[in-house]
Amino acid sequence: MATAPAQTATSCELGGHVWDLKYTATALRHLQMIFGSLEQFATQLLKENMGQGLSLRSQAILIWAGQRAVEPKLKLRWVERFLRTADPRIRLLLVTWATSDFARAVFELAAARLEAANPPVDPDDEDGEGL
Amino acid sequence: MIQSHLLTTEPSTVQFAGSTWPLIFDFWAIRKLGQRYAPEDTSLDWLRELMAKVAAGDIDAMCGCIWAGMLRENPSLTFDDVLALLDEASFSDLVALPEQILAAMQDAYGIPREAGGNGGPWDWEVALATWVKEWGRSEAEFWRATFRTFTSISNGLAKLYEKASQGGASTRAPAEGYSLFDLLSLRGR
Repeated sequence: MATAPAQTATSCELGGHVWDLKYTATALRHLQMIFGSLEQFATQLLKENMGQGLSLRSQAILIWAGQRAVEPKLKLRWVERFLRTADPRIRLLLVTWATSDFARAVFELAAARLEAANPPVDPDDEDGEGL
Repeated sequence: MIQSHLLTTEPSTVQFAGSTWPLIFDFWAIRKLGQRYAPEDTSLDWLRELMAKVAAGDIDAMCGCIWAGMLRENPSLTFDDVLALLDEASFSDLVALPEQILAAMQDAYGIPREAGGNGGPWDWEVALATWVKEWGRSEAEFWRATFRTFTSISNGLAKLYEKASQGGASTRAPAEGYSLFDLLSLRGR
């Protein structure tokens, strides 16, 4: 049994384990290394009924990667076994949670990229003064 | 003239997680990068590929480069330490990082060039002068140190050493307009 992290404002106990999925650099790196393009993987998850249509292994990887920020020693095998044996409703919740948080991270990255490419115009500059 | 961290102690910097982090891309850094990403490679193609990955926003590649760049000041820093720092970065930080990392690497190593293109210059004379005058080390040691680093990434660099040491190296840089990248990958003109 993996050592569960402490409860936090963002954590949730499901199936007797405290989950606190976070899609920051560590998780994104793992997913990038395994699935390649984050954008494509997010699209695939959304198309596959919020990740429900994915294989158990892919679901486990998605959840394992998100949980690693708070449980660095968590084993993928443990997550796979958890998903296989958990109540299907808990599996559904966890996968949906992971998919939505991961997709949000990808969207926020895309938004940051867009903003970097097209920085917002400073309204003070619009009248051409101070040039 | 292009900045190089063999020439100066002024590091390049990257910004994320609300702080500015100094990066030093010297031979040590390139060696550590080589050990991590291409321990078997004898050419420097992996460095070109790594820089392309950084440009594409690959987090592993970005983390690796930041780690290597921080090593001289923090030799005990691990890749996972840097990854933990990056966990504190915002998404805007992550998007802005590739450009900063690449600028720092290009300052140090020159711009990796495609076949026939031009890389950035690497001024051997200034490098050597700094090594001797500012660091108080010998010319022979400069070439040995450079060569030792080179041999760790390429077996064929004896040619470069021979060329560089012919007729006294002090004023005979291998050639003008070379990028360190070219020299490390033994691409001559």
